[in-house]
Amino acid sequence: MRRRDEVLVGLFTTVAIIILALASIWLVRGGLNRGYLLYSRYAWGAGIKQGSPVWLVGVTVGAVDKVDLDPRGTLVVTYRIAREHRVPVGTVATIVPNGFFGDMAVAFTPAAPNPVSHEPGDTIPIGVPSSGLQQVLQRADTLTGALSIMMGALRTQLVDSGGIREMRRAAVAMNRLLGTFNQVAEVQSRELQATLVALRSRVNAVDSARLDSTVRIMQSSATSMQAFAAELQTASTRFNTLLIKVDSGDGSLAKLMNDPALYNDLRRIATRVDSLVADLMANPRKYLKFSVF
Amino acid sequence: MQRASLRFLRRMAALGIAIFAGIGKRAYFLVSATAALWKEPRTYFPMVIPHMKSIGVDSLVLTGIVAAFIGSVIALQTRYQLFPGVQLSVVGLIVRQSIVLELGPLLTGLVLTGRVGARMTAEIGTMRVTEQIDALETLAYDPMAYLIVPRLIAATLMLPILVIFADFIGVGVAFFTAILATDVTWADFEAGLRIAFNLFQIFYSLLKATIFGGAIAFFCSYEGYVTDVGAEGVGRSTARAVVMTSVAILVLDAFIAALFAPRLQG
Repeated sequence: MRRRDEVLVGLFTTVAIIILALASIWLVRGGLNRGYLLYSRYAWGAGIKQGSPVWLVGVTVGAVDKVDLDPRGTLVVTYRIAREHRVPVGTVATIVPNGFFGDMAVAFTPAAPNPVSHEPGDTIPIGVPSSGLQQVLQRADTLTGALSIMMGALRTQLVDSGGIREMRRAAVAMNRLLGTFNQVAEVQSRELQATLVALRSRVNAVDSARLDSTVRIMQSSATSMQAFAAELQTASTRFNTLLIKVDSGDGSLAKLMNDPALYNDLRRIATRVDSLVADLMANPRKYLKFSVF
Repeated sequence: MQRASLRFLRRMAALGIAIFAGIGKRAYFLVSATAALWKEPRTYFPMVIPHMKSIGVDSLVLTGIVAAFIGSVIALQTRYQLFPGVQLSVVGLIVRQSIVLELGPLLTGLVLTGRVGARMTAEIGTMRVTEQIDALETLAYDPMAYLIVPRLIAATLMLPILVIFADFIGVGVAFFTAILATDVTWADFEAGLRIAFNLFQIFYSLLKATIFGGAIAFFCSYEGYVTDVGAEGVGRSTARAVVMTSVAILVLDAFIAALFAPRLQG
């Protein structure tokens, strides 16, 4: 019984330790396969660390085995590549973002398919890093900051300074005004409709034959008016000529109008005629003598 | 009014004294156990292996079942809580971090508190009640070395081993659940498991398990060792041991997280 317990506990512990070791190795390095080593040199702060995956045109072919700090300003990165994968000559290595959590991976990008591949221990030149998630996130941070400032200013203007209250008041007043407009429009609409109805009824009531005769009469009247106007114009012209003659002093009328002596003579004559008539009326026998027999 | 205040103050003082006395008794118990560990290896050493089997090997099935279901639930919950656009490898990452850093050690500790700790308290308490511990002393055996130290050693050694299995089973079941029941692929999950991983995370998990194992053995043995007379006393000690150990595990968990969490980043 005691022996059995010892064996069981030993087996239990050994299995646990094996699981722990294998799982740790698998998680850190991707397995027991040692693979072969390649190298690159990056500038400080590249963000790569041990265990980061290495992709060859998107396929995971290994992992970063080691990152050594070179005091001259570079990081010496050692890649462990699985034996079954070959890295073509002409490949460049770039550090690319791997997910949302700031992790980085190394991407091997061959210039073109090449049957000649790098030998173990070779150094892979580094390429130009693409604009990664970090930059996008920084940009997003900047935008968020700007948005935050804008929101702050808006809040100051709209909330703290009572802008929203004013806008609300303006909206209420505008609503009231629109209500009034609506009422006016309704009244106008009603009246317009009534006018249209009346007009329609009037139009329906008109007799077209009578209208035709009326139009004809009006046409003939217009013609007569036209002739009358022509005659009136002729008369006017004559009258004008007459007036010109009067003004120019030719003829008896002109002299009567323009010569005061003649006027005075005529007045004197008229006065004498008046006195003569008066005398005649008073003393008819003086002037008239009738005898029948 | 004054009398009521005085009564209250007296009660508070008695409670404070009881708390400090309890801490002192446990400290004294720990010192005795440590002394026995140092002085009496011949007494406790033969007892360690049977207790290791009882605590470790015999608890494997229960621990495995708990870990498997927890792993499965975490995988499903994580997948279906992800908002669109998040890469699916996050499932692997969250499963690994949840199980290895937190749920593996914590649930194993709590499960073993119920299964192993209660049994420890009941065993030792019964021995106390039936005066077997007094008999051991009469026979010149150190009861600390015979009863407490082997349990402390066994629990402290076996909890990490059980947690290795729990982590492995939990992550493994989560892996198969994610692949078979959701749209997460093998490659996604594998990539997620490797994101931001460092070996300290494993160390942290095992450190927690070791401390939890020691806490289970210590609190449960103590409660059994100081059991009151009678069967009722055994029951009361067992219940108190389970409650105190569970609370102690949670407090220790928070304390260890506060201490080591900054070092857990990959």
